Amino acid sequence: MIKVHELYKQFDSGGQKVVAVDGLSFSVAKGEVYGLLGPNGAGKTTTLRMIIGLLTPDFGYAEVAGFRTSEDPDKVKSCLGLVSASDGVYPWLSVREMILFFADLYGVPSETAKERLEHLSKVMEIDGILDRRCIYLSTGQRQRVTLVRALIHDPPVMLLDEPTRGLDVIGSKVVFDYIDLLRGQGKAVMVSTHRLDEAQRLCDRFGLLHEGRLLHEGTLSELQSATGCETLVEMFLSFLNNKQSATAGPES
Amino acid sequence: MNDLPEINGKEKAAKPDAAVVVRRQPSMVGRLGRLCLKELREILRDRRTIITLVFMPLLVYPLLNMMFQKFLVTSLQSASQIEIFVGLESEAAADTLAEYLAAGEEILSSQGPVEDLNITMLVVDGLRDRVAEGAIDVGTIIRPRKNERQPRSSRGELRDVLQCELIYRKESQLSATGLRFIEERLDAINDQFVREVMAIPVVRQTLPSLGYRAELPTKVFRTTVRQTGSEFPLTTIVPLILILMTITGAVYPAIDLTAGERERGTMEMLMAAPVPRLGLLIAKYVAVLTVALFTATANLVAMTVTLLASPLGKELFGDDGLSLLLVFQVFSLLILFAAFFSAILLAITSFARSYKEAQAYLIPVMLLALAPGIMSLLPLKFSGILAVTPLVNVVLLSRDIFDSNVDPVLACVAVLSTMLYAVAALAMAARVFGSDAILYGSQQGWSDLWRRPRHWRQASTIAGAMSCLALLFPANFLVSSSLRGFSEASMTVWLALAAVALVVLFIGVPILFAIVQKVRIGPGFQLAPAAILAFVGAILLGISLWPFSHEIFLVQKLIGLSSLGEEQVAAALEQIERLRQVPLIVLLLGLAVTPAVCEEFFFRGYLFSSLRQTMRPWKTIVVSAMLFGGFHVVTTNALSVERFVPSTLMGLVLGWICWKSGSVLPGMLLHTCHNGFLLTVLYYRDELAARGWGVQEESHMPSTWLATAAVVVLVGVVFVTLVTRKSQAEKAEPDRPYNG
Repeated sequence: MIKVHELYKQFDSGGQKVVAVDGLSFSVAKGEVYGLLGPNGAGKTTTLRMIIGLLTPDFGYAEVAGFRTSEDPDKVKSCLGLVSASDGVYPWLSVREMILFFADLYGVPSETAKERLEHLSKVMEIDGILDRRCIYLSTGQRQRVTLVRALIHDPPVMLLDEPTRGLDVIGSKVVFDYIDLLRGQGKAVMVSTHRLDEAQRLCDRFGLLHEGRLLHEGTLSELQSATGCETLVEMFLSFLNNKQSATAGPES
Repeated sequence: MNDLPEINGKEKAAKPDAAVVVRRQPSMVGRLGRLCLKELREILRDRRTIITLVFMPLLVYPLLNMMFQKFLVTSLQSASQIEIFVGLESEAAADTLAEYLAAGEEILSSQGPVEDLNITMLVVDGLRDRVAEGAIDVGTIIRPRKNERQPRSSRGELRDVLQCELIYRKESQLSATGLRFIEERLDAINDQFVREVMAIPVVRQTLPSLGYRAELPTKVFRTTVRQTGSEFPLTTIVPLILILMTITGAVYPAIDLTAGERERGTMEMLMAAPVPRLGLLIAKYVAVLTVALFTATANLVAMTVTLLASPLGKELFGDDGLSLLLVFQVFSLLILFAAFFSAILLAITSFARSYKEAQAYLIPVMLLALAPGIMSLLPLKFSGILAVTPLVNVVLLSRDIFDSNVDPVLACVAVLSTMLYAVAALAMAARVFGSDAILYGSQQGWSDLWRRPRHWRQASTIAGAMSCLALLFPANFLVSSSLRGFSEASMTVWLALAAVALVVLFIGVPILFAIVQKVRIGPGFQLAPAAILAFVGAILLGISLWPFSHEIFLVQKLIGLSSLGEEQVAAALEQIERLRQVPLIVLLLGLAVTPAVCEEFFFRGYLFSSLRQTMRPWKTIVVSAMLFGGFHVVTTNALSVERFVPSTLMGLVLGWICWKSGSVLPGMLLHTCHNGFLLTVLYYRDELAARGWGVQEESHMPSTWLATAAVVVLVGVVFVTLVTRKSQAEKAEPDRPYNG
């Protein structure tokens, strides 16, 4: 459902060229939760934005549900639901108004959107705040509202960028349950996060990203076999050490 | 910035997943409407909008009213310091007026306290000019005569009737005060006379049956003159205030809907939705414009009510006060101004990544906007370059509306140029809105505006073409106005200069735009070979359409759509006579070939190919034709509304032939033949009339001519219809659409 091929993106930062994503390739199948993991500045969010079409890659391409972002950007966007790192809401609209507005943007018929909203609001426990203006929502409520917003058009592919950022334990659990729900619905899900411990619980396959490059990719057991490490944190550090040693060369 | 990446892999896109159903998007117009409603709902619920929309007008105008009244009262309270100069034609007239004023003063004093002013009477020549210059405040022409109808005095003498004409400057406070002073005293004399007459019993009893009509002892006629001096009229402040208030209303929504979206984090979600970026921008523009108009309306209503409810209205606008027509005219101008300024604000705030940054950009803009407003306070003549200078033109036009002194040509130039500037500003905003750099905080926001695309393209963007048009319109007006003087000296020189100007403007400027935008010259200007049939059809159409243009002009005159006055028609006829002294070949080159080639190069070349990228053929033809027609309405010295319809119809034909042939060249030939044929007929008018083939401007074409022309048109249409070559742009690989 998601296919990324040799994505490359560089930025100009204070006169210097910074390579954010360097020849990235991976894919995500239907019903799979793929974790794109790495520390801050690894290129995760940049990759996500190139998949959506918000950023134009310098080289390479991304495909969603068979539609290439560069050729059919609107069709790609129609197939995607995005939970962004910034949980922005429209302060003067009510929750209902905002979600129905987004449903309209995605071309969901009005009646269908209302029915879906009623159902999702019960699942995500926001049915009591549908008519509250977004400016009066707490952080946790806001997060749940953005999760519902991303699902209102029932996209086959979901992208979640740092979904648990700023959330407490309860809030994070909501996100975990949400991802399980998506998996159960057969959606292709890509989660981008720097919380390796959380990703270990959530995801089926992992791509470990560092300085724009994919260090390694695979299921947890594959990575455990390859590295001899138990946890993703240990694996990641191990890969980094190996990479640094390889870079240092004979001098070390 | 908006170019696609180079794709290294040779793999084609995988087949779309059959299980994935991509929803068919609803109608764009409906969606844009709902987008606009959402933006409006959000912005109108914000308390900050309500403050500028409701509370500010409610407070500002009454406060200003109080301030102005205080100013006027203060300036009039120290009446001994104010000197009103009253001009008269002779010493005798001055004595007569002084006598009547003293009598009136005495009557008023018996009724209560009387305003005392320092009146100085002067004997001057040319009263009207002196009043207009401001040398005197009120001019008085006295014509005393004996009243045959009044009862004679006790000595049997006929009573005098004082007839006087009072000349004053309507917009001058001093002049109005002097006028009022004199009228009050003369009215007092009339009132006293009526009381005396009615006190006579026989008059009171017999008055109704005898139909007795008393002639009052004084009669006053008012005459206004236009101010030519430098006295500061308070009415010039009014447009400035209204404009400032409109700006105030638009600023907050513009910031909130662009930079505010980024700060809140909702911009990314909006961009991730399958809605064209331009659609989102237009929805935001409509919302900003709507709030600006609401603000303008609230301010105008508050101002009107304040002026009507207080004496200030008459102080500023004379006894007639602020009329509904004036209010309507000012409101229309505010709509135009709001449309323009909303586009500018949106263009600027599109660069900002936060509220703070947006405010930092806008503060200098608002200060800059004050400068044109202050210019309205200066005695500047609204003409030439000022008519096309953004913001200044609207401010000066509103000042002239208040002065009831509007030149229709300049007004039209100001309105059209402002509309084009608004389009150009929106085009600029469309380039930047939601771009990579602005969305994600890169440092290159402003440079993105000027950065050339990475790849060459087949046609300009609509934004680029409209920006070019926004530049061409005022430039063409200014250049044509500047060259007009040369026609007085030598028609040949004028023709040569005008031709050079046309080439520079309509060929040089678009080519420059094309180079900057990396547009290939061939497809970008529809410079492609065309089938012979197209050229033959073009010639036939070019020589046969002119009778129908003539008929359209006549019909328009019949229904009263003629905007050319007798003076302008006479000037045009004189110009034609002078042109007939020039060799025909020079005339044809200057007024047929060059305008035809240059106008087609831009309208059916650059503009047409840009519109064709996103619009269907018929829409492209209609839009380009209407813009072409609009361009021909404004000439240097006249507003020629009647040219719009025939020019637009010609534009439709030219657009159609361009689309059918895939080339701008047949249209150039058609246009040249049309202009050339008309010029030749005009040139040999006398010779043709001598042979009985003359065309009278005021009469219809002979039916045989029309029928013949119709047949030739039909044949021409058939030839062009048989052309099947597609446009070069359609055959070549189309530009890939960028994201939005």
